[in-house]
Amino acid sequence: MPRFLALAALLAAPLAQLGDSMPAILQALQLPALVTEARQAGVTDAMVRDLLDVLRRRGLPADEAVLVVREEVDAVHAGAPKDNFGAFVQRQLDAGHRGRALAEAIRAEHRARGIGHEQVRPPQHRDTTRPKGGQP
Amino acid sequence: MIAPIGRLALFTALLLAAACGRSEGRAAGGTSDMTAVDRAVAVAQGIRAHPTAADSILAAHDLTRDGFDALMYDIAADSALARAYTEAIR
Repeated sequence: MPRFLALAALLAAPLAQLGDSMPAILQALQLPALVTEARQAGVTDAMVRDLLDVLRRRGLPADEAVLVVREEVDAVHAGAPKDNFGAFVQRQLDAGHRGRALAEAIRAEHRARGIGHEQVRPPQHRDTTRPKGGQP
Repeated sequence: MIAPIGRLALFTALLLAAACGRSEGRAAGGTSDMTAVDRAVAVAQGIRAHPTAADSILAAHDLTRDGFDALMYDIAADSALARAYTEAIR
């Protein structure tokens, strides 16, 4: 977690300069830190790799992968079973979701199973790099 | 006289082959991996310093957008590399 926060702090200055825009490259830079956070939260390396493989095979750019992985990491922090990491992603990809719609669909699946997101994101967590209001 | 020279040549060739093999292993598992992390960290720091020049920074590191995505995926998929990147970016 501290490492992710450090990365978020690193990216905070450029984001502040860019206003509300979220360049895909800046977002993509978070991918290694996010999966590190997942591993530190107890998700197995195999599950992380499986999810990354799925996203990569489907041709998702790294910035969109960040959206997906973030939802999954948040779900784990919210108490979702760690062995469920990435379980909903394939289905949502099959349904044709991409980008923020994909992330929202995954979040909705977690919510439908009683895994909320609002209470899990620590105050200093992610907000420097996550766009507000769910719009691009 | 020829036989000892031949044996010496064979021994030298085997030594060279072994050295090359070790060198390649290091490159695959060590040097090139570290280069990937160093490259990604350099890109991250460059974009931090010049946030509006992201594309130019990628180009300066010989990265296309697809290549950059691949770099991020590659580092993320390797727990040690992902950790190294995350720590280096602090």
